Amino acid sequence: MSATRSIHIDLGAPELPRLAAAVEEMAEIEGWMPDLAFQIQLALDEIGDNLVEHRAQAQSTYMKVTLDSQDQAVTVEVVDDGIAFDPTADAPAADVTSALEDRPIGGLGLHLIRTLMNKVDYRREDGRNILTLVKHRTP
Amino acid sequence: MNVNTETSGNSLVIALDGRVDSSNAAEFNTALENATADSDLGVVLDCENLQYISSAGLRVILTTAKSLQSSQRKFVICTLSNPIQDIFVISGFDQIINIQGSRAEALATMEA
Repeated sequence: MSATRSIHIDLGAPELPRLAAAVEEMAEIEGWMPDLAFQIQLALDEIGDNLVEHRAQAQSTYMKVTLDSQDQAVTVEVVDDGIAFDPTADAPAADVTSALEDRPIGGLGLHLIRTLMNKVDYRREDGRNILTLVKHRTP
Repeated sequence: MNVNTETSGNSLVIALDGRVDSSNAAEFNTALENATADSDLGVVLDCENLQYISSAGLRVILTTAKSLQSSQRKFVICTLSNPIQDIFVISGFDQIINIQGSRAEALATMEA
């Protein structure tokens, strides 16, 4: 089985919940394990939250998400029209070890994505940021 | 998202239900502040019916853990589902927050 779907999100509108809905729908059609649906939703939420939060500085207006579910793996491509930003290189590392009183609040989103996904690739093409995530269907 | 608070022995037990993401993290934060204010009891956050949480919700949990620690109140989280337990571990929260498998175990650590 395989399925592909694209979702266009206006970053200036509260449209991120449409991503979770699209993931749930595909998970059901494609028979994903529940943990896989959770992890894909989480990755998209974290990317979407970052894009919405930084859209003014990044001068971005939209994100386009393509979900591609195949037998072996799910590939998620996220395209945005903001200034060049490579989250695999330009984002600071998360602090996941210091004591409770010293632990900074925030900065976990990309760390979660990098850890949960099998592959995270970035490229800049035609004035757009393209982030590609791959997650294997079986752990 | 729903937050229900009850007192059990010497603890406040807060049962969290539903989904927490950036769309309702502020509401979740206010709900936890309200639930824990006007009390000096330790807090158990029972996540048995928590279906989903993103880093926006993890921020609220970390803020709550810091605030309870600074007033010397115990804080225990219990009954995490597998994918949520995974993200707590990946985030290093299991090193700084007491996480228990069940509400009974959580309440037992509050007695100690």
